[in-house]
Amino acid sequence: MVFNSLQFALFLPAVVGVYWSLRARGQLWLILVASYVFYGYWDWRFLSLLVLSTLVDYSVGRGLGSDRSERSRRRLLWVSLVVNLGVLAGFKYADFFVDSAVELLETAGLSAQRPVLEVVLPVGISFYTFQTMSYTIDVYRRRLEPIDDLLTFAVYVAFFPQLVAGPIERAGRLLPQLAGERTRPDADGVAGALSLIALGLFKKVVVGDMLAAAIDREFADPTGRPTLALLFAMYGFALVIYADFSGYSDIARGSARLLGVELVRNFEQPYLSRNITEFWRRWHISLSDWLRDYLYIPLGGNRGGRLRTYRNLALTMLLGGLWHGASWTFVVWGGAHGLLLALERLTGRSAPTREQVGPGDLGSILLTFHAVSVIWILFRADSFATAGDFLLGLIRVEPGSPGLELAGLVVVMAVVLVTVDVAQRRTGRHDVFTALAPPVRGVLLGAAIVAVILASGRPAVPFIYFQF
Amino acid sequence: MTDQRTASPPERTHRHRRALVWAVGTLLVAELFARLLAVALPEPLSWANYEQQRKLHRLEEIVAAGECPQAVVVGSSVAAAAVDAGVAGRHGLATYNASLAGGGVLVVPWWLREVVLPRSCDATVVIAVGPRDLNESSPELGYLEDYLTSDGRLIEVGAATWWQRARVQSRRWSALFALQGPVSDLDATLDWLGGRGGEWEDRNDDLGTLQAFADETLPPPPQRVRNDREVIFADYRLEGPRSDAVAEGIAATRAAGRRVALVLLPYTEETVDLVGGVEVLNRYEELMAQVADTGGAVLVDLSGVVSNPEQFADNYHLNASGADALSVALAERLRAWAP
Repeated sequence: MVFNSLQFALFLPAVVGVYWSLRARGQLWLILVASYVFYGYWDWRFLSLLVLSTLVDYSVGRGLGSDRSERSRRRLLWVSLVVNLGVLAGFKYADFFVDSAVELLETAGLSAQRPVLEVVLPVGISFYTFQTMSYTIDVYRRRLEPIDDLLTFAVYVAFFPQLVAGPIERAGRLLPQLAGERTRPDADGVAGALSLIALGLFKKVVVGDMLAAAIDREFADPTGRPTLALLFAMYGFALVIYADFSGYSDIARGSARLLGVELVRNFEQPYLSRNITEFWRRWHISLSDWLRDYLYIPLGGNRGGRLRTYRNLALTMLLGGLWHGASWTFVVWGGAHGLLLALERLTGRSAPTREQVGPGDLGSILLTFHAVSVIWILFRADSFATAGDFLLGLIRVEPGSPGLELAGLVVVMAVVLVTVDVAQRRTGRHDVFTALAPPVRGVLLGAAIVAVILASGRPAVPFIYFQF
Repeated sequence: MTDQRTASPPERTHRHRRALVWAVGTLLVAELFARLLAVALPEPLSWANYEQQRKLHRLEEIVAAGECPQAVVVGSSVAAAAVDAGVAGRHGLATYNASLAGGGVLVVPWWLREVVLPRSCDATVVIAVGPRDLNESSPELGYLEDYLTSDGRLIEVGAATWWQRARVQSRRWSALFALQGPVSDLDATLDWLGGRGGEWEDRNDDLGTLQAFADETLPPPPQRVRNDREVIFADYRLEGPRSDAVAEGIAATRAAGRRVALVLLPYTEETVDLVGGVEVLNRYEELMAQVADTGGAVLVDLSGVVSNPEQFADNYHLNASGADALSVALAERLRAWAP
């Protein structure tokens, strides 16, 4: 089930309506059943993976909590890592590894028969495996007490608002909220939650989906397209991926709030960043934090000298790229970010500590946005050849108009997103509309609903991050 | 004004209610505005595109008016551009061109079975194809998928889910929902707003086909030529789902007790090189003859009727002049045979 569907529009109010009539334990059972229905609606067979992940990490967590030798604890941790990463490798990367191996053999002049695997990628697998792994690693590091209650743990793994595309919640944050009594949101809380859901839907359906359709042609075949059309398509995709993913996070947070659960903020106006380091502190924050805590720091982080720091940065970003998708374009996308992060460290350009941005920051914001947008081309293009054609098309000056639809949509949507981001930054709140006077808020909400209705003519487009 | 955080709970609730009233008011104003605008807009879209929806309705109107056509043409954009039903009609063959410019040959059997055959009296069915339609290596571009999954089609065949029905109903009840079509097809809307016609303009509005399709919609020459070489005719391969679709269309028509002609459409000299030589085109013609023969269709070879490159919009779509010549030839060949 996707957030931008009629089914979810009926599902969420029904769940919330029943939820607050139950006691805490009943609420957990309801969320678990609802989460499995939500996930199984896409393909019920893959519920087995979710259950497997739940049972393995629950058991490993319990085992890690009992008195055992360090050696046996380490063995248990390996069980969790092997199962989770094994499932991820099998379902997400099997085709990629096989294809890469065959290509490598062919490059070496050897002939190889490519086995037909055609494994279906279970939705959200990268998100929930990372989430459950963080639990076992934290318990192993003795930073978290293992949980005894299987039901609470199963809800932690499958919590439907963030199950398929995050935010990747840490057990230390989410489990206490699930284990304890949850407070029913008051009028302000409900207004804030609905405001987040409306904003998220607007970003996804109006900004993301409309722009995605407008830029398809340029990314499908960039050869011979006017340079201006490619430029607008590049800006367009930067807006699409942001609107799509942050829109999902907004709806997830709003839906969770209606259930009395506060999810972590996953985006903090990333396109107002003044350099790449700051960008990664504001973009997909829950993944950046995960990679920092469970990959970068265990690799040595910035301890051990400059070269090791750069190596660790590069490795973290390369693997972060691979996490996004089983393709070399994603790996190179991550690598390009790693390179820029290393360059910023080399030149001493660390992230600014000042939260607010001013007119003096405009140059560095634009520079960062353009660097990120150019690298997004690798993320969007289906092959290096297409990405290369696109980049060449940007350099070679091919005259021609970008077309009124593309240019108009990019400009209008950019203005809308920047306005929302600046307002959020100034107020420090994501549900920024709730602070406005009732008539203004009402008109804006009504206008957002009108825009969502108008833009919903096409079949519901899944969120981009569902494929990861 | 009391600060949001310091306001008492009843005050805050009241404030949220006021916002809600304003939101509902905004929705009502938008609905009213949309209703005023809707008078000038086309009906809501429930099929994959306006072309399918219009042609379906037009077939119903024609039959309801008792103007049963003698021949109804189906095919891809190649057939849509090739047959000017108005010209055919003036030459003694009352024709409706039900070909889908936005659909490949794979859509033909479905479109025939579900839409055309039930709505065309006992007209002779003309399945018109060219070499461009039969390349199994050419990408299908999702035409069939779009057709099969459209709300209109699923309702038509009784396979729609409750929310698909609800979606179509919502467009009948609310003008805002009805505006979804124009917004989702923004290019056509902008054309329409700029007075350039666009996709909503009537095509095939009489028994005739407005031919201008090819000149209006084809990409400019450099990209078109590249498409021909790298996409349309690349790795030219016969026999597969496309020729099966032609055979299936013939079988469906015969099963409905109707006469069917398989018409081979013209192509340019350059096409001979693009497909890989004259032997490949011979094989294509043999295959079509075999498909017609097996299915019980009459093969009408009009591939030689137009050979002047000036009468083509590209290597396979005829322009208005080419369509005139083809339509005259089609009428002459079929008028004695059609009912």
